[in-house]
Amino acid sequence: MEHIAKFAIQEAEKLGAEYTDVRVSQFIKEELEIQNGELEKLLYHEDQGIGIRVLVEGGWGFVSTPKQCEQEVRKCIVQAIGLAKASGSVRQEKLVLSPIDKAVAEYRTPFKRDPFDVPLAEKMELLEIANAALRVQPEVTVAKSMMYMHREEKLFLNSVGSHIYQETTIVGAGIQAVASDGKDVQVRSYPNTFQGNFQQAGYEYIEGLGLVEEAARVAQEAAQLLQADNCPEGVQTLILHGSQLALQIHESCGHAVELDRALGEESGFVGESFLTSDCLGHFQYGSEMVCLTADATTEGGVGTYLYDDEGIPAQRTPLVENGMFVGYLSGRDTAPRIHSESSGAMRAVGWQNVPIVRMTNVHLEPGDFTVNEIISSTESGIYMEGIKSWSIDDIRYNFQFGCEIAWEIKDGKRIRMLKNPFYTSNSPEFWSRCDAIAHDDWQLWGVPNCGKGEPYQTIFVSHGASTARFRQVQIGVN
Amino acid sequence: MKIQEHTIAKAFLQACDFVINTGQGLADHIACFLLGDQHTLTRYANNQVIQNVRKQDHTMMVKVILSGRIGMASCNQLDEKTLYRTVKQAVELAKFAPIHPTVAGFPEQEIIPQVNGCDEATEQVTAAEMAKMVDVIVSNSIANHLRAAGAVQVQVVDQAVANSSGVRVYGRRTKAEVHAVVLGKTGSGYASDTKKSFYDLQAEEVARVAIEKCQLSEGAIELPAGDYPVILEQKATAELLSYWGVLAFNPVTYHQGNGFLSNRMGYRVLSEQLSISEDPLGKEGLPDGFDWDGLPKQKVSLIQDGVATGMVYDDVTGKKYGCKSTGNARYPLSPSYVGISPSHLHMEAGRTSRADMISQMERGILITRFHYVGVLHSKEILLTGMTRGGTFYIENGKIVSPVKNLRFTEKIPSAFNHVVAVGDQSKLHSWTGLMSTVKAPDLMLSTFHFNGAASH
Repeated sequence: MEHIAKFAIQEAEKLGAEYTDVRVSQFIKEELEIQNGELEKLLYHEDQGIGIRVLVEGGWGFVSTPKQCEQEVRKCIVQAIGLAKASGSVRQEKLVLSPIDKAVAEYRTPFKRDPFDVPLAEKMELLEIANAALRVQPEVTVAKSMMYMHREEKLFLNSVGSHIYQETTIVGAGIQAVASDGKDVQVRSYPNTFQGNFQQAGYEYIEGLGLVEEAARVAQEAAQLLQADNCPEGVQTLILHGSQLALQIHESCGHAVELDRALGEESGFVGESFLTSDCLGHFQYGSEMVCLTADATTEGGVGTYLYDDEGIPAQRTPLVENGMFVGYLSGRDTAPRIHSESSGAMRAVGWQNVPIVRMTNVHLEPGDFTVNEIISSTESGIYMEGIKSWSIDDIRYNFQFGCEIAWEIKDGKRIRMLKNPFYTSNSPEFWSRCDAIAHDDWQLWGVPNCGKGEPYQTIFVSHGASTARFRQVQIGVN
Repeated sequence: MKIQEHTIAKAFLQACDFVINTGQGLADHIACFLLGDQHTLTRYANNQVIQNVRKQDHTMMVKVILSGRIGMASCNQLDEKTLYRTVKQAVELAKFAPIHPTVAGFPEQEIIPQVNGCDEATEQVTAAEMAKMVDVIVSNSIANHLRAAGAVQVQVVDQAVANSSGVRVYGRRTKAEVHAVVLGKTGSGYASDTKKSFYDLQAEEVARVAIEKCQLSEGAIELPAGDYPVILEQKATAELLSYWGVLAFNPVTYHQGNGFLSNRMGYRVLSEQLSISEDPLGKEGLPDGFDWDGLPKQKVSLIQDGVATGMVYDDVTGKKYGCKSTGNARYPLSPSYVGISPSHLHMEAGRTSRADMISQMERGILITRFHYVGVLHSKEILLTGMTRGGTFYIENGKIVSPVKNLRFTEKIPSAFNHVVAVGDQSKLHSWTGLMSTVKAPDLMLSTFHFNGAASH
């Protein structure tokens, strides 16, 4: 790793690069899935390669290759310089980068039990037992149990002398029951919809999820949903469980505070942000109890690291303080445009991709309430849980989310199950109506499929979230 | 030069041969799937190039069957040592897998249709040529005091499949795409073009349409939520059709009774003005001769005059449900939630021009495209999403005003049952990084439900 990375830095300098950074990485992953008692997937994958980014004549060029010989790397550097020069040929403003310090560091995910050392038979047994427990419910037509683990060893070197080695291990698991009566289809997942939940940890995290213990409830709820009433429409009090609030944070805050979006750099694809730079420090994003933070240092977060993929230290960045919008996620080439420095949020998926501004771990800070206090103090409302559907406009303003399951709340109690619940609002209006946030069920929700950029990159991010209440929200389609 | 004589073809087939030969002594059956992807992309925003990327990779996946057990392993190095280790890894995994009750061997070789999915000149496109194409759009936007964003991209995909039952195929395909989002003070306009050859892309036309839409979008009014007649431009139709394809033509959900078409095959399910097929061989698209089982792709009638007529299958689902594969095996490293579905959907064009649709509309909305579509109910194909890139109000046969983006929530079978007219031209669309396509015409629908509006 080290030899080829150093060679790339030296060659790029010789060929005229003003700045170069190089990532050499090795990646392994294992995926297991049982569906209806049969093996759906049992896969081991490994890849390795090098990604080289150069700055020449005011433009960026990036080339990646799986071949790590000197001849190939030299060819890639020539290509990268050609790309950079072409970039500089269509440019209206000078590219300015925020400062970077030389860094020498190492980081490894702490864990108790290496997931790649756990016998395969043990992993299969856990998934098979959980799968069988889902199938006890006769209405369940599709029972899935899934497990995932990966490890990336990454060496970052740049032309200012940084040498950063990071070894990240991420694990996750989940179960899902699809129930059908021929007329309707309903789904329940645990711990959450996107193949379960994920953490930067060892196998001990999977063992602690309680997949087998939760399977009967999950299957039963999927079956009960077939008979449940549809969620009624209307403007009501909405209580969101952390499993759904994590996605709400992700879509209406996490993406909205990406500075490249706010500056228009994503307008050709996923869009811009209603949180334009003139809003910083002046825009009331939510109610006073809403505090949102991007924290790349959170223990166990799947968006946790020591240095980002530009070699900037991981940071804890307040995004919304007491309802006021105060911070962006940024990188070296976006931060100077708001007279700031990088927040250390440039991330790339693997060696193959160029770093872009990404979420790290974006949390809604815990509030003062317990879940029981929130429910018992609600006279009338709808409680929703589990991600089912999501859609938000290109400036992260108007959204509509659907959940797997809901319960009607009357006089502080859950009185009946409801199916097909969804709600719609706009981001600042929604967050301004937050009047209670729990602290006792705050946890990390790992999302494995955050998509952004062209070429498209799908990355892991975490959200700390707990149950919270929102007043006067449009439920269902008006 | 014959495609099999290409240097990469030789290297890919050689790697496949090594894997199959190695595995035949270690497993009962073995298959391998090799994907090579070269993707060059010039991205621009605020009238300047912001990112210029060339990425390449090749992934070899090995699948073995050993005493009824399946194991899979993959790598991205094609040297014999790594390939041998990957075969061994798949065999080791298989030893721990549960016995699959219905597992059979891999499919046998069939005759693959000869298609030409590769434009050799496109493989050699330079960074300067791509930047020049960006400059066409940027210069036109600057001249109109607008700002442009988007990307120009070229993708070269190599695919090889081999197995111990005799399949041994290789193919190379190219895709070139340009898209532009042009932004004004409040308005925005979108246009795109997708072709097999970079040199067939119409960047001037993309710039012209996006700029015109942007200028027409300035000063949008807000429309109240409700049901409106709509004209869906080709891109908007293609987006709904792509969801329809994934949700309605998944053979597993169909046979499990969980799909929209379950128990509806042979019945009229859409407007009789609509005919939809899986058309992977069409010369005007991105032709593709075989799937990830190494089996021939073919044209499949899915909806004929509104009647459900067909379903797509890969080898495994075909055998499971007593049907023959239609050549729709997905890439084996796709996430498991990506099911079998059509890869080259084609909705047949009708006879009505867009101008005639507008002139026939008493009151309604013209939609350029949709944004961030989500599935609210998979069996009913209930979708939600926003309009984007140019939404306009029509009154008495004329566009009278731009409209702020609207949120729709609609059952697509219902929408496709309210067809008034079908556009006279189908256009090819593809999504970033994917080689699948949707070819669709404009659609005029008598009603479409909107339940909210954006601020812009």
